[in-house]
Amino acid sequence: MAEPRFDTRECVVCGLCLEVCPTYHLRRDEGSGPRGRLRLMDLLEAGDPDRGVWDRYLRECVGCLACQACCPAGVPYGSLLDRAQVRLAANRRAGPIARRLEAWILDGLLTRPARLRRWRPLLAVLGVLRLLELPLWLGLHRLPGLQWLVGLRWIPRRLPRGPAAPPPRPGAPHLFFPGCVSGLLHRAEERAALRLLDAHGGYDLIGGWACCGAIHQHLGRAEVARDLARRNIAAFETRPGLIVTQTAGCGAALKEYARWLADDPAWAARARRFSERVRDLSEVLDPAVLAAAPGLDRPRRVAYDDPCHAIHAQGIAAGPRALLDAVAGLERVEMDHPERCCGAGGTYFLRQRALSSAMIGEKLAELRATGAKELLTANTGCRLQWEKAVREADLPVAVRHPAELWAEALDGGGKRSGGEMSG
Amino acid sequence: MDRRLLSRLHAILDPADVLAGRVERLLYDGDSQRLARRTPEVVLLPRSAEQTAAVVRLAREMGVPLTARGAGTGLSGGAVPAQGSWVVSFTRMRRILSLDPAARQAWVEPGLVNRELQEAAAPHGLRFAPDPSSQTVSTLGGNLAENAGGPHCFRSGVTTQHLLGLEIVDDAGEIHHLGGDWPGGDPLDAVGLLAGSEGTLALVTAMGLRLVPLPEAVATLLAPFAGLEAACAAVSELLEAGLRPAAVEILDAEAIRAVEASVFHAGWPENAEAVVLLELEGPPAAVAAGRRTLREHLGGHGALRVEEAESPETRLLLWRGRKGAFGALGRLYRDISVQDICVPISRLPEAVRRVVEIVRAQDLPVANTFHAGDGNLHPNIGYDRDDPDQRRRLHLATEGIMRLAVELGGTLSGEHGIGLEKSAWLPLALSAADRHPQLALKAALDPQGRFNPGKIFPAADAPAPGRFLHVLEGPARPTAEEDPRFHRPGREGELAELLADEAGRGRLLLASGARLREELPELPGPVHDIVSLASLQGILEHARADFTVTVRAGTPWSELQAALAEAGQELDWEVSFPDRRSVGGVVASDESWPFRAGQRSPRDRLLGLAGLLAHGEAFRAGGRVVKNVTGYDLPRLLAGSRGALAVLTRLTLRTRPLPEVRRLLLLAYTDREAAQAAAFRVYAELDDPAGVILAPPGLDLPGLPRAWRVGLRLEGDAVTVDAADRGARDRLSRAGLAPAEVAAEEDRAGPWLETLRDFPRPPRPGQPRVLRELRAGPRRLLDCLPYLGERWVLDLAGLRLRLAGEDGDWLSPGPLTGGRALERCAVLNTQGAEGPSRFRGLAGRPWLERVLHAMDPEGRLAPGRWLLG
Repeated sequence: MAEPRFDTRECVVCGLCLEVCPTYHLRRDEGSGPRGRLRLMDLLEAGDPDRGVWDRYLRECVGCLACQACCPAGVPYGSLLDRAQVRLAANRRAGPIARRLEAWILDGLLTRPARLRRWRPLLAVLGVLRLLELPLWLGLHRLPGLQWLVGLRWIPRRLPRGPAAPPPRPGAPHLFFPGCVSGLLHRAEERAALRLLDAHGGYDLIGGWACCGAIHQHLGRAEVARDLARRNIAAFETRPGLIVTQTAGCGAALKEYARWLADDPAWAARARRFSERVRDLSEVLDPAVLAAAPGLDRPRRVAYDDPCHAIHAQGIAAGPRALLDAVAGLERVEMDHPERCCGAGGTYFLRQRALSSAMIGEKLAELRATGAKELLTANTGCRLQWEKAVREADLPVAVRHPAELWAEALDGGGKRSGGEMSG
Repeated sequence: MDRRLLSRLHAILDPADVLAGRVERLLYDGDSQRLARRTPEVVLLPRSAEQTAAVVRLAREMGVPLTARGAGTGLSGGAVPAQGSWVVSFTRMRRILSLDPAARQAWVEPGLVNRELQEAAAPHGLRFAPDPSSQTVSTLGGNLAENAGGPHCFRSGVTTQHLLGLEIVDDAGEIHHLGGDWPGGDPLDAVGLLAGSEGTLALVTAMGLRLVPLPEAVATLLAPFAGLEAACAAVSELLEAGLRPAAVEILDAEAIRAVEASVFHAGWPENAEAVVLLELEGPPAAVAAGRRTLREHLGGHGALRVEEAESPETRLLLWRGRKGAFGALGRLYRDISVQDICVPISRLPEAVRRVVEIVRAQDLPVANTFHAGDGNLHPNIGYDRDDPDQRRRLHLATEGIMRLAVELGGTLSGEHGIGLEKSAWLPLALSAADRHPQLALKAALDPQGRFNPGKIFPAADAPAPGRFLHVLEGPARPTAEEDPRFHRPGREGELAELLADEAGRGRLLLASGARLREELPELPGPVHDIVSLASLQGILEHARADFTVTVRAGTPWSELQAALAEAGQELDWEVSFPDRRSVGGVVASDESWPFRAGQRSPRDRLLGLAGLLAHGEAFRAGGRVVKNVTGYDLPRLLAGSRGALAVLTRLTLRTRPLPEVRRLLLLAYTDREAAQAAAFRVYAELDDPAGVILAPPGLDLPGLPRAWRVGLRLEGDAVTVDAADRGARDRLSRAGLAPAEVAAEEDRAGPWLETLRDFPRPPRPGQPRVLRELRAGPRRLLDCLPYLGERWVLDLAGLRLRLAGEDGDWLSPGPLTGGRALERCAVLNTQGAEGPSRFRGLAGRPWLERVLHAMDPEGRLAPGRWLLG
């Protein structure tokens, strides 16, 4: 098979992608589906002047990649979308203050994860005092350039740390890649991942890592993303071993470094070697280890929701389920459409609030129908989206990363150490 | 778009449902056939029938054409807008209006995706049988417009065979309801006329659909072959041997390579030149037996080996690969043009070989994925639409394929439609004379050419208002005493001359299969001339290998069945008084009684015909293949029209192998409630029984004690029939509905069958007798039983009840008033022949009258043959 031609002409307009597209599912018009968006990308490339329309439709794409995963013709939708995002970003109209703020958050705060983690105690205190939404009560989010402050609604009210993780072991086969936001808001999940790696030969930590760059890439800040990629490659090159992350979004991005840097002669080969070493946590865990573990102390009914960046971007769907099924005392139920996007989509939930809430609304109804008491998802954005939805719907469901459950099973524990629960 | 016009559209539709921007419109410039494109003036996404009707009225006022659109996955350019067209996209009309699992019926809006209906039906153990490859995204409205098929339609039939009723918006923006909750319209199958009409006659806003039970067991076999032609030959012979899998597909090496390289890879054998994919469905015992037979057959006919899908997951993967083949070929080809010819099954090997030769002669690549069981080829031709020379060569190749189809006795399109792509080639298949009645229909139903102009017919045929209506003065009415003349032409030419000759004098004419004047029933009304077709008889061709027979209309029904039986085949439905009927009469009255289950009816089995219009103009319609979307479905419209549209002279019907066993089970019940419950359960749960009937104790079955009887007809090989027999009894026992006693009959001419079939018996002289027929949904039919006395037979699978009466009054109290139900009433003569039919509750009458007027503008033919009461 020839290399993908990186071209919308790959599309033969068969339309099979419409089935899986979350925005087409809701809107049912051509511009809201991948087939139409590919045409719009052509217009964008060709410098079409009718900006309002293609700009709106393309921004409405959540980037779940379900279409790419099901495309029989092999259209590289993700790459095409990234390219379009760069142009869209260049086209964006925004005031100077908004631009500065955005740059401060995206290119400053988010690129230095270690510094980001320092905000955790403040957020935890605000959460306990129920003051997280103070800026919203003051109406600050109505000021130009500050709309993103509504994002405060997505921050969990409790930030449990979970049981302490076993220490790193130098020379271990796994190098842990910490996520920036998950480290800030879901520390329990990260510690559970480390506990699991410890039971699978151990892990080690490495200095000098940076944000994976997924957010930047998907917002059209491709150059920032490439810089972050280079920093991570350089940091991890120093040591052998698999690079493991428990966050699907980060994992998908790390695996994509090869593509991001394919046209950079100095880095292409290094990026390829790096990407080949990247694994999702579920890919390095062994169901036999979990099956041999004590399991849960009491039966639980859980539903696993596929993060798009696991199932569509990395093809990870059966693995986590097999690991869950290996846990004694666990009843796993399926939602009707676990593969359908929850609407988190990186920063999508802030940018396209109406579509995003329609998506999570449908998923929430599916979750209710299962009667599950825990909703498991393996990506930070998805988890925040679910946590907010469950909290606002006052549903007695805990939202967690499956790693937390696997770790509990290892230790035979049932303590509700992590996760947010309302009601 | 003009601002004032836009604001009027906004008054009809939510502004979000009006796409007027240049870029948004651009996205609606065509479908998956990508050669022709045109940007519409505006795209409208109505959410209700009322909105759709208002759009049509506005378009009419503005003189604008409309192009209906579903998911835009069509393959013949059917959704390409005409110059100045508005696109009406139905994707936002996607509700399931009702789904009654026990009645096995659903009413849906046209924008519902085929898959969404399947997902809604599956939890009830049901499915919608048509499964086009695009089913995960294509809409049911689109399926209707192209009369879509799919792999499993080999067993289950195409879309038209699963339609009940429709709600449509006509060219004047009026909403009509056609048909009802039962299959096959009566007397005119207007529903069937719209299936495959490619959006050129009306806009459909709701559809009533038949659902069928999911099969109890399924087996999927894969047989690789060393050559494509060998695979086709094996399939041809397999069908000739009478084997009837549920689906028979072939993929060639190129298609397999593409699928295996795509996300749909499923472990197709990559070293074979062709793979036959077969699926068996039915009771587990029958599937197991069929699997053995198929394995033996394939092994003996050149299959390299026979593999079987081990798990449901593998099976699903194989089908996803088969259905995603078009997209997967996008990996090999820059653009793809898919052709869709359908040929008689015995010509399949030759057709495939020559199609490949034709395409290769133009130096273009081709991959084949097709519905071999139906003789429906899908050569996927690779080309680059940006290269004018490749486009030219594609055109030549396509034309070569079209000509080949006609040469082999096939048709231009089996399930994709003629659309824009093939309209210029339609004259290859349909001569000007053949197109004449089709264009007359178009002109009558859409005189201004509002709906999807430029499709199906070549540009030169564009209908002009009034062009096809010979508006003469009305025919002279005969005086009361005038005795009609009785003609019995010996040749078709003579018949045509007679019609043409009488034309000038405006005489009213009735065609009949009766041999003698005396055999005729009560005359339907004023008639000048009676033309007997009794001398026009004989079997013209029985293409045994193709499972078709072509006969003259006057051929006696029993003679035809006897001749077919000698060759090991038959027509698979029963008719009352078979010895007194001609084939033409059976077809003209759509007679199938008492087992009109599945597709056992003339409407479903009439593949093609030749006939004469009111003025003697000869025409042909349909063909000799089982799937045909080449122009309107005239055979379906003419079957059952009772001679009012044209005089049928030759008929091509679909035959099938004689079943090994034909069993009629009569289950006795002491009370009506239990009998009714048992009948309904069998109807709801059994997968494709050949008939389900219910009869009251008043029906005297020779030698059987008086009881309520549920009749179950089973056909097929011994294993299948036994399995179905056991299965039905088990189900009833489990439901606490075990019959008091069971009688079984296996003779086609057995006394019980005869009693049921020849019901009601013709009267003795001086004793008037009236046949009443009720059609309605199953619940409604069962609900009215308490009011009907004890002289009726209910064909539950066919959703029809026949009642013997003394007078022609409508049923009273009217258990059927209100809602969807149709009542027909006809006086019987002593020979059992029906007099003119009167109808009550006929839906869509104004629309039906336009159909009548189109075909016979002066009302010459069969005047009063049926009265729209």
